[in-house]
Amino acid sequence: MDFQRSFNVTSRAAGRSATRIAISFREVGFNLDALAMDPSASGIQEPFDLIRLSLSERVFVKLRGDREVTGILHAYDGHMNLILSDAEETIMIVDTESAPNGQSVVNVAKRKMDMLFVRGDGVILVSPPART
Amino acid sequence: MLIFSVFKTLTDQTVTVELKNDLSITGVLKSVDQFLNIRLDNITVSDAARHPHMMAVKNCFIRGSVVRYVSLPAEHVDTQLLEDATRREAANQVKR
Repeated sequence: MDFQRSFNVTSRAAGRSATRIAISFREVGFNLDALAMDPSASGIQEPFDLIRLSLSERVFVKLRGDREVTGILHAYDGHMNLILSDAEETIMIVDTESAPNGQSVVNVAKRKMDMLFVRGDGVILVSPPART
Repeated sequence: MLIFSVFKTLTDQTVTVELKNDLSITGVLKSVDQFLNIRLDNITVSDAARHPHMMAVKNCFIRGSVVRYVSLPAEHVDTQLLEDATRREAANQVKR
């Protein structure tokens, strides 16, 4: 336990010079901060844990080629291959030709699939549902 | 490995594979391997007019890396089982 160890350092340092004590207090303070923000308490230690906690929830997935998918996440692996149900894909098609004076129009195409496997190499990001 | 197992359980089901070149192929999933290469039988191409060179092709082997999506038959996917298996595999990854 880091906190315990730091505390012992402090009490040992108490008999020595004032500067050493000051340093030790700083160490204790640092470790207390680390303890307060300990991410393991919430079950999140690595980025994939964010995706794990989103299982059976609706997620937003941004893909290469101006594509986005939302769907209920049922499975993923280390490649970020995903299996989503009730998936809706949105394709953004930017049209610079038809619009005048350099403006561009974004056309959006949508379609639904009830069970979809998404290959991981196309995934840019996976966003968990907004928590209220 | 988990996704590989899912595809193995879906053999002999009809799936639609969308490739990165926007070609969509529907067919019966005959086999799959660890790279998620896929063999399809009795195939039809969704937009046949745009891909006339595919008309004569009746079965094919698709390299896994060119796949964008695979649309699966939802009634043959046990979502609860998938989530449990995913959590189990995630736990194993952390131990390693």
